Amino acid sequence: MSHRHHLDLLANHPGAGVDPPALTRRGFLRGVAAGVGSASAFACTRAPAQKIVPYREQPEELIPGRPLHYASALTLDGYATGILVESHEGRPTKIEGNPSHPASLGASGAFEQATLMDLYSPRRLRGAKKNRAPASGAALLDELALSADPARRGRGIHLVLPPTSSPLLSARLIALQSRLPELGLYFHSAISRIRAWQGARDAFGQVLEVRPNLRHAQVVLALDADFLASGPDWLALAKQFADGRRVASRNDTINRLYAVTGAPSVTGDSADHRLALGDRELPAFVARLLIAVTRELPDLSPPDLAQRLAHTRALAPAAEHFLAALTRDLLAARGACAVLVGPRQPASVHAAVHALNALLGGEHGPVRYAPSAVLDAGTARHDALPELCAALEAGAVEHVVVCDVDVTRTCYGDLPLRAAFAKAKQSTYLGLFDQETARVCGSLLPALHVLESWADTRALDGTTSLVQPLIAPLYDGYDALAVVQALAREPVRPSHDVLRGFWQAQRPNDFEARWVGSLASGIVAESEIPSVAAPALSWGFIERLAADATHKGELLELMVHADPQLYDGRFIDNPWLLELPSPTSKLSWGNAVELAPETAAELAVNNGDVLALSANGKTVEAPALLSPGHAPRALSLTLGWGQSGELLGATHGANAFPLTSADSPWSTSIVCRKTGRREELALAQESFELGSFADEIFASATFADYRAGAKLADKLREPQPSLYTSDAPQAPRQWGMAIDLGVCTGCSACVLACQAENSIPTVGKAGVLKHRAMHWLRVDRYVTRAEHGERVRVQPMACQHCEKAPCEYVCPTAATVHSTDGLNQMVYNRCVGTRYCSNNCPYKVRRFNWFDYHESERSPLELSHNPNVTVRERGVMEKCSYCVQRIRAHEIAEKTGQARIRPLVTACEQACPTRAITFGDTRDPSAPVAQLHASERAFSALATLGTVPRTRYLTRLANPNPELE
Amino acid sequence: MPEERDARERPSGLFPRWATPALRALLLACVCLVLLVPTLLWAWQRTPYVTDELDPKVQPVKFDHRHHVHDDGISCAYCHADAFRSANAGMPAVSVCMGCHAQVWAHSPELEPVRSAYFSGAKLEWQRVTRVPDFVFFDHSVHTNNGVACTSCHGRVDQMAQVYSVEAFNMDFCLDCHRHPAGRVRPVEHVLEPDWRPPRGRALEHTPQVQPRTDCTTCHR
Repeated sequence: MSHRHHLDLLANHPGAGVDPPALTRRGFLRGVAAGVGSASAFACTRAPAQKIVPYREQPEELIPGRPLHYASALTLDGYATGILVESHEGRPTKIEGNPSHPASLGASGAFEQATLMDLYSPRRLRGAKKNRAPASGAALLDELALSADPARRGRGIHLVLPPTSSPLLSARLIALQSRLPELGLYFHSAISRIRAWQGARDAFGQVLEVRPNLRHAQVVLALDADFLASGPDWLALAKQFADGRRVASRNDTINRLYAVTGAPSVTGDSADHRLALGDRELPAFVARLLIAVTRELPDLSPPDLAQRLAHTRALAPAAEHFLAALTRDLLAARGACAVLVGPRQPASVHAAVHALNALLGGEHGPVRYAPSAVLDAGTARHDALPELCAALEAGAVEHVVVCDVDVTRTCYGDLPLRAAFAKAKQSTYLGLFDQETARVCGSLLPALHVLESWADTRALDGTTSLVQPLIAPLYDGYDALAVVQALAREPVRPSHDVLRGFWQAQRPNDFEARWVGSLASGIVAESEIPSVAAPALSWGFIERLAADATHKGELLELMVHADPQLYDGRFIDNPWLLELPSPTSKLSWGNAVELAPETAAELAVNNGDVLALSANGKTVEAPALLSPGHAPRALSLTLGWGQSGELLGATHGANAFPLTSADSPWSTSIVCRKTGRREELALAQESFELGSFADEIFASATFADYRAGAKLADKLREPQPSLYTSDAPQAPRQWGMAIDLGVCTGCSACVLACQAENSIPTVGKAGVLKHRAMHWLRVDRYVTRAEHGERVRVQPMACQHCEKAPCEYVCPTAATVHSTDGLNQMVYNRCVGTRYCSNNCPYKVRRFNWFDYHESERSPLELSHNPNVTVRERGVMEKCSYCVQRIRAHEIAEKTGQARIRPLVTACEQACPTRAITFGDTRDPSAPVAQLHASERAFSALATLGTVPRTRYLTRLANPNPELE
Repeated sequence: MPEERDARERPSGLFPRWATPALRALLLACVCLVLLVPTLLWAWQRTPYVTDELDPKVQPVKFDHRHHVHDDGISCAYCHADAFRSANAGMPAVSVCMGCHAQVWAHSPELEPVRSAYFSGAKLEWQRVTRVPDFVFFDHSVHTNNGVACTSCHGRVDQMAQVYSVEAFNMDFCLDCHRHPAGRVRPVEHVLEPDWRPPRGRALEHTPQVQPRTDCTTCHR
């Protein structure tokens, strides 16, 4: 009975690797007996017969056993990122960035990598439903058409979509609006950019998107802007920033980054100087900065500016000191400095930042502007949910149609949209998963996953990509285009035909070649929106900035953020993202109220104490997590968690949406109370004092010292005496890796890339709590208290492929041995699971399969596995293999004389937005990795142990402002 | 006297006389068993019954390699072209069969499964003959492009009425060649020829560009 129970449990929680219930002695003995019996019975039988079914006609481009790559694009809130998808015999298994796409440049982030898990999720909606009973999708579309009577001009029909930049969908929506002029159309995103758009309108009189190029920026100021880990062009910005920071010799120059953030962020971690300011103080800081800058440039600004901003909130002395030094630095780098601001900040701050960039950057500065690619960007359609809510409550809604956005859950907490939906005569939801809006809508249409659909989409800079399917729809599905076609009372044609027809009409000349070319390269040629320098400024925003900057609050402030794993909660069913430790807090499987240790001491709370946060008459309970470097007197909580329903991550974490309001969506005054309960936090890395040991692991220096010729990380570079000698044969190539800690931001894209490439299972919250997470590559985060604030260092840590590997010496079965080309090999078939190797590994990078995690996966998740990697079973150790499957495939390609050989890169290296990881042959003097290993910045982690790692790190170089040291 | 009789039969006063030899025999039997059982299992695993060696498989179509190779002179690569460019040797697509059999033996009842696969989309299910375990990542192309002949692993398929596996494909079979490639690889242009012999009076020498590897991760990843 207990065995059955175990199986049932696993079946209910596939992919999450839920631990089985505690085993009784009797159950254990029964299991052993059954195991021995079946092993002896089955060991002596013949292997089952296998069949080979050939193609009827082998597709022209497909060779079974060789993967193909197709270009497509993923869209988040309307902005596209180009991708290349690896497909094995029609089965997508891995997503990479598209090197020719401007928003990717070959890199990819965690969301892009993890999209695969949404495609293969066993909990996707299957089959259309009406009032929870199976229905025909075509019939539901007919109902849509029926309600969209042109005679009624669309009155009572309301359509909610995510922001879209698709040229096809935009054209169709415009046509639909002219057909149904009274149609209510809304674009909703929880992480809305309306404040940024409004700020541009205030400053320039028109909606423009900011298009920075940080490649040659000398000073960058990030005001609550996490440009190194989020935003529509973060992959490109991270690369540009890193390029301006990469050091090859002592004669190079590097940029300097200042970050002003409330909660810890990837950008804050990477900054040379970080100031912790809550959302209430940030406008005042910006106002003071504007005053200070305009004081030096009086002829470019209105003369009474300082007067009009005179009553701003006072800043702490440390902030004033920071501000003074920052101002001097910005002015010194005039023409080569950029100020970036995040979408959470009010429009007045955005406008002020536009003014700052215009003053400091000038005509040829790093920040440029261009019209938005998003349809109706900046119009009321993007923030009109209260209108929808009012219409619903007035009973004036015939049919509300929601496409691909969980609108009732992600609207502001003070909007009773969920209850209002019941008043619509008809409601239809089109989506991938059974999220909250799906449950309040009468009709349910399953959506196509992006890897199953045809569409077009545009990047921030306007570059258009065609979205092409990688696989035939796994289940019956529809897209937004089908809904729009139904509302226009057109026959619902396949999206491919509509898309092709649309583009043929757009560019009739030489269409076929252009169409094929765009599909192959992933971008439509010459579709970029050209950028311009800042238009003339209008200073009308000053009054609003003055008002925002004088805002005071006695209560604690709660800052709400997009979640690094779930974004707004749309990835709630994605096991990879649920288990990805947050880059800044290392928390997985939930969110927590983050607060500064000083604030925590004031409130007498500790890690895991559940706090009740109350605002607007609503209370949310969430565990506390101490976060060094957090702004004082403020708490922060991420969105997207605490959902209801049956999805994988539902019930984990706390829902922050109820605490938000239309007046101040991102920052709320709250009352905080301890509940007395505690909750365990699934932290991937626990905090304790490293002391002087930190210097054995990590080396950092200032750029000034490096330029002056200081020796770096001496202790971690010296060869150590060793009793172990090796006369093993050596292949001509010796693989190795170099990780530049100077440009690594800790964004964790590599962690997911590794997980996807190597089919690494997830273990669930219970598993993480028992330290059984399986990530082969993790990103360690070290916080040290410096004189001025906290200093954060991040370090990707995977198997170091030690030449004198401690794991190899202790393995009783020789399951981990060295290869002739310098790899520390893991032979799963020999491993008997003693775990000596893991105990003896000083880097703690070996992972043990406590359970048959893959066995508990529900179909069709197994389709996501890389066919070139063994599926590991229970009881064996595993770890980073330097993507040995890619190495061997590369060698085979060379030995078979294949015409086009893709460059050899590991999965982590390929994903890395900042190109911090370099892999290659350390014996080849022309290989970048060999040059990096030879660099005077190179060091080995824990070098004094004499393990001689093949992964070497490059000393992190900070570029602090001497004034602030 | 009862006590005297007991002393005679059980000198120690506890066990009968036959107890000691019986115990020795039992211990010996235990030792034999411990050695014998694994040996037998080891041997059993290597019997053709388990390894599938020499067991001609009944295929959906009575495809005769002898006829196609010798009578028709069709090369291995005509049907198994992927063996030169992919890890999989691949079974020919049904269209390859139909390329000839749309004209030749176009109405033969023997070829009905092929025609129904081509015209009605039924599955043509060949029985797998040669197999390596799932944890072995074998790549055909690197072998065929470096002078390992088809016959080196698959035997004289050209002489088989029904194809069977000639090897158990245990690891020693692979390693034997990977460790000592000299004399086992031929010039690449001859890998398809079942009858090929080195020119008279010349033994095959190790081709220097062929450097097989014996690292575990060569095949196990």
